[in-house]
Amino acid sequence: MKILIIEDEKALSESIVSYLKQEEYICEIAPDFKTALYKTALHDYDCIVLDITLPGGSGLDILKDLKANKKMDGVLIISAKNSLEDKVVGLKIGADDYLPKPFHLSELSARIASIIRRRNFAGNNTVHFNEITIDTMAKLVCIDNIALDLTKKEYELLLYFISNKRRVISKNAIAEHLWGDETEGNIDFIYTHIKNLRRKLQECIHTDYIRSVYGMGYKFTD
Amino acid sequence: MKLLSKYYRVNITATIIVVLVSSVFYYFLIHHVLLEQLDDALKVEEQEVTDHVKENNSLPQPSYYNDQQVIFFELTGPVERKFGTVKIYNKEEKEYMVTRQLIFSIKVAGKIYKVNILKSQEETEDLVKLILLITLVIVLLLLIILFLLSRFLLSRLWKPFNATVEELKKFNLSGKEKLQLKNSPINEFRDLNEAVTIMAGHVSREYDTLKVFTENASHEMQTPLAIINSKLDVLIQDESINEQQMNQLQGIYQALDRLSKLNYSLLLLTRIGNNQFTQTDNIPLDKIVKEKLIQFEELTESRRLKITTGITPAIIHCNKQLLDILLSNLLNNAIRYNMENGAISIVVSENKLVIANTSPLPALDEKQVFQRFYRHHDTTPEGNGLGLSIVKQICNDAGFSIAYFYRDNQHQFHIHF
Repeated sequence: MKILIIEDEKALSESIVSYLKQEEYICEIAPDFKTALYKTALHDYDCIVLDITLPGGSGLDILKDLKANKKMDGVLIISAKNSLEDKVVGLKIGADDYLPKPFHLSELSARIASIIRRRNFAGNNTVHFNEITIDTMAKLVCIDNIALDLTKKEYELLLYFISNKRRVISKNAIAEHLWGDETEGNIDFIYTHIKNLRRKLQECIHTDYIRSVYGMGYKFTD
Repeated sequence: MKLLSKYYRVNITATIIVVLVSSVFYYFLIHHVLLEQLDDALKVEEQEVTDHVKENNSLPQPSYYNDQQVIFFELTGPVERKFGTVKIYNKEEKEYMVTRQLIFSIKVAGKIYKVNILKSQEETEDLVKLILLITLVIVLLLLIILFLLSRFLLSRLWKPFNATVEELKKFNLSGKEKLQLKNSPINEFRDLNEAVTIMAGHVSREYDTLKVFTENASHEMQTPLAIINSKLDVLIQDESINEQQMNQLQGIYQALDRLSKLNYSLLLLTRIGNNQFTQTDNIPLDKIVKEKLIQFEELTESRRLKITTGITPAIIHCNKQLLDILLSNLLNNAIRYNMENGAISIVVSENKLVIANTSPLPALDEKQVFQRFYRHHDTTPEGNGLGLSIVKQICNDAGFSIAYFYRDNQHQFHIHF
């Protein structure tokens, strides 16, 4: 999988690359408008992470250029301008998703994975982790072909874990993913959900994949 | 004190002093002139007596008329010639009459006589009084007319000024309307209006610059925040980090989370202030509230809060995104500041929304509750202190009114559409 990160802040793009590399993505960076145009014209990417404010032009123009050239690259806009208008315009032009800055890398990773799944026209909408299979179209979780009954939140949590498998996800990132902005200071709720998910998984699998990392967060790993 | 009253006070005092002083002066002047006239008449009589003595070498017949008397007395020595005013008892009128007299001595046939010519001064006194009265009445009338005229005229003259003051009172810096002042043909008021308009323009521009600055500053902060966040996300992947270090990192995460939310809230406040949520729709409030309650179900259930609702269909006109934020903020507060097994009641009617909740906190300060960064001192600094400011700002923007009450041990927020 090839990912292009169009972002002028070197510190940020480096972090993104460093985080995504573990997912076996091939990441490229375009730090300005010109390089971005050049790279998108030359190569096809599975997903493009696109910042809107760039030196030399607007990220939205790159998006327009992609659509004009009938490119099928998935596009995820990341913007410091968290405004609905930007989001609406971006999605209207043909972006797949919009993520306002600041964001957690685990969230970015999950969104990229989701875009790539949706872009995949082979109909491969399944996510695997050892014996766990998630059909993201049907929102169905199977363990060794036996369906697992999960609540909506537990399903989202599991998908989020597997999208960030073998990496530490902070509690804040999980809370934000599950409840968005609605949960200021309600991080405690994730314990209940994790406890339930863990219980349901352990009924079928003997190893506990959900590892707690001190007070920081969780790691879904074998 | 009003300018007009100050003006009248000075004006009336000055006028009264001038009128008093001048009327005293006037009285004495007229009195003096008329007395001179009377004395002239006495002198004419004196001349007549002297002429008679010269021609006939005898005294004329004394006369005892009411208004003029000439009396003679025999003297041993001459007396000094002098004018004087005396009071003489009048038998007919039975009262003392003010009388002017001239006394002089005359030699008739070797004998010296004192001649006393008396002329009634009453008429003169009456005349003086009459003149004074007429003058005073005229002055008084003049004063009243002047007073009324200036009162009428001055209040008319000050009209443009009062209009300007009224406009200034209505002027709202964060409002959409510009300052509109009526043109006045009076130079002073025109100058004032021009100066005020220019000043308001300056202030508005400064305010706009400040608003844009705040928005830009908040925007600019997003990128560094994003960098810190991403660096932390990468850092915690490091297997060699021990528990203690992880706890430190967790502290950074928490602070970063607060900072991000604070920045987001500030940005939201300025953006509402900058009128960046212009799109409005007719929104079914009852449906939105029900959706929100489902969204918050998990939170309310976990704290075992009892939710009572009285929701009737209501359509309100506002921005959908802002309404969503408004409801989220109010419900979030109602849950966060509630207690275990507490209660929340929500009433939606055609023109009103009431959200009430129980809480261990006492009544909040009604005046301060919507102020930025206002927090009751008993609360933990979980919230950023901007939630209710945002609610207030949204209400202002949409033309709703919001009020806080503390009734029946419940914190209540009433919004009128």
